[in-house]
Amino acid sequence: MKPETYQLLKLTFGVIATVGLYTVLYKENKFYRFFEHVFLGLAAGWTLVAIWTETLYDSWWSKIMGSTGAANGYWAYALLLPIGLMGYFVFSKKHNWMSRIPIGIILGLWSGQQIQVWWKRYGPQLADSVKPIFPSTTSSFTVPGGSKPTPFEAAQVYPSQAICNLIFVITLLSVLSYFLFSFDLKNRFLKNSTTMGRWLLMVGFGAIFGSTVMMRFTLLIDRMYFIWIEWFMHGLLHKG
Amino acid sequence: MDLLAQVPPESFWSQASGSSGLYMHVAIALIVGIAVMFGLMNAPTRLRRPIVVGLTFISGLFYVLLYFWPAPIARTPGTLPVSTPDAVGFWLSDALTVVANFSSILSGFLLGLGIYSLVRIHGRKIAKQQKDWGFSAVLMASMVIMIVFGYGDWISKLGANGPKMDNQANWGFVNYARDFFFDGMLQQMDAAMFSVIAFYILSAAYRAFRIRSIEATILLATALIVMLSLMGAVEFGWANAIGQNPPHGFGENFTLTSIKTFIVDNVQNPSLRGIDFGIGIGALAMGLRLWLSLEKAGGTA
Amino acid sequence: MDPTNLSLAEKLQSLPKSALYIILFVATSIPLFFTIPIPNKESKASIDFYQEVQKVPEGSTVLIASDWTNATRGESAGEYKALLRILMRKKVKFAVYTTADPQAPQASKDVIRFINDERVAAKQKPYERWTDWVNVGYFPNGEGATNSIASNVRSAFADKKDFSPDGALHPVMESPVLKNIQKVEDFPALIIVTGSNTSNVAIERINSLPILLAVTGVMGPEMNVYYTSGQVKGLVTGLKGVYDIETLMQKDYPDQVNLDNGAKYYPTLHLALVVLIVTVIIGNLGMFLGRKRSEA
Repeated sequence: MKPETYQLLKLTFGVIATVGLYTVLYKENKFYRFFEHVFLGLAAGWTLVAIWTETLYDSWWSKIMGSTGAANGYWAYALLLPIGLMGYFVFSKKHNWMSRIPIGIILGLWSGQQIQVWWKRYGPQLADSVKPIFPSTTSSFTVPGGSKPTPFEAAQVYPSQAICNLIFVITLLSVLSYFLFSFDLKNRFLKNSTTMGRWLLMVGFGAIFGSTVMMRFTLLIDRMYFIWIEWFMHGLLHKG
Repeated sequence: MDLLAQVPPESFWSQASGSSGLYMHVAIALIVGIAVMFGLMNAPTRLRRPIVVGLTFISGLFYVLLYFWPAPIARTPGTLPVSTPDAVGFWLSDALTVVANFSSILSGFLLGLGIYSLVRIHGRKIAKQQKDWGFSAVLMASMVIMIVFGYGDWISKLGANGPKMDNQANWGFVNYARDFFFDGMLQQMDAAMFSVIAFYILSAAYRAFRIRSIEATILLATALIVMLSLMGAVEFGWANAIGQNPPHGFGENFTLTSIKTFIVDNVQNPSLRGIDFGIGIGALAMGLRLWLSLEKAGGTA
Repeated sequence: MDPTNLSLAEKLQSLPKSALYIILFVATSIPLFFTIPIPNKESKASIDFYQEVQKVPEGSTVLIASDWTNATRGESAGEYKALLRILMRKKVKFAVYTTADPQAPQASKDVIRFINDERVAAKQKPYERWTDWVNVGYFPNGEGATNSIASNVRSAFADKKDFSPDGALHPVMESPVLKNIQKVEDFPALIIVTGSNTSNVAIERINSLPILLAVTGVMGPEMNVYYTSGQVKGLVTGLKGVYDIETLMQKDYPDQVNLDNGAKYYPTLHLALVVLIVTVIIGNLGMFLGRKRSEA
């Protein structure tokens, strides 16, 4: 088979599969279910292949067997097989507690990391969130443009920056109060603070929505490009 | 105290590759492992929770110790520990890779759980010819095809021909089949599944996005500003309309980019940070609860 | 509701789903047939990403976490292609690993092959596996692996093998790409191209070298928090970010291929977003008209 013919065949089947999955937009149908099951089967098969080829072969099997003249074999890695297989006891009614052993080991390893992880992730953000809300100079309302500022000038907080920082701090504290004070409040100040926190949260959610829409539409545009340009124009009509 | 990765060649922990000694040790290890497994199957009920809790605690203790124990200072290859605490520090940092390897390997074995579950469910459907068993047969057939050609392709790339297989001209039937089912089918269907959501977003936004409350109005307004700022043509037109092309002076603060940047830097970021801090406190608490097995369901028989 | 006797307000609020789907299908198809140049103002985050990549010295090795699959091809492939084009033009070596998905290594290799074919067509030397780049492989336990990389990268990659020119698999640390790397700080940058939250895992564990992120749109707002706190030195978000990088590359490399996925998809994104905005406006118009009617 010529490479061009193979390429066209590959693209055509990809388009048929894509359109098959898109038929769910009309309603659930057998065509969609067929391709859905093909997708699940291929994905499951590939996962099994990749588990061995990308992970277990190098990290486990090669470690046990070693390499002639290059590396010794470490027999203790073989003990990981029975431990890993204990996970499959989750399907046993009598012995399903044993599946918690490998899961417990992995969860234990994860949870032990959380202290270090928490600080590395949130420490810099906490430091960055403590912003000056009072200006240190009134020589200019906004940050002066022009030539590169001296270190002393760069360290100044101008009134416009102070206002922005104040908005930042108020937003952060209101949002935190919304999450932390999740019980019935009598204090009017706190009540208003949580309400404002909820409103300001909507700004964050609106931004997330806008970005999510961009992503999903881009994925759809990519599929349309695959169908119309890669398959139809380049593949079938040999144009472009 | 030597751990596996530090052990010199030909010791109790390692033997020459391909040697009968290695195979014997591996066989013994497997027998011991299976014996332990059978032992656990017959373990008294009252011991089950302590076993799981103990293993979970020891696993977590490694990373907690790694974080809190003084790390070796200015360590270079060949440096030896000068005291017992230093030796423990050396051991912990050397063991990190081995422990990470163990968790990778265990995770690899456990990834097969989902596949096993899938095979069980669909295998049963086919065997008993339940409703829609034909689709289950399609799923199993696809899985077997991917496994056969996936492994076949990988095996064909081992050995001396490996680098040559990067060139399609050297491909055989197995390589083409892997490419067809992975690139031609799986990858395209993966992308199609993700992209279908775009249609649902449009219809959901049309039906649900109504200015009925202050919160909805704020959300809608911010989403609109963000979407408009994503469009370069709109940004350009807006800047032209307010005489800011090129941007200059105080008026630059009223370009779409500047408005969006102001909202992002001063309102969006702190609100997302507030959410993050809340989630972070929860994750830390959950981490401690899991490590100490304080969760109700953890480790019970 | 009697479908034949609907008021304008009711009609505006009850457009059939199929009509919306067809409009979106058409809006995301037709502009693809035309080349529509769109003016662009690059975001500061994208500019910082580009400048940080340009700072990487020629001949050095960067570490790339390629944590995306074809599911997010629309954005991630564009980000990855742009990144590889810059690195290859600067003759920077790279080592690619992944912690996200078993499909990710293959998606990465496919793009590298695509860019190499492009270089061969332009009579440039293609990037050779082992000599110029290595595939470190997939680590299913991302947290543990990333911790290990941060602590001792030579140990973390010790078991990983790739094909050398002699056809055999050899440990990646013996390759010309990685043999001079003793610790993770020897990499000038860690560049993460991801369609999921693997960037969080790296930020939580690696803080001794500059991290650059190329993420999908949905992760953008969350990652922006790390960018503003300085934990991440540059951030490319979604299709807009891809287009930003492509237009920046067009200024520095005008004689080479720069405009790709970003330039192809960006005009179509405009129309799709306009469709969304207009349908939301129509829905709200219907709601307001309905309210006025009921008040009257």
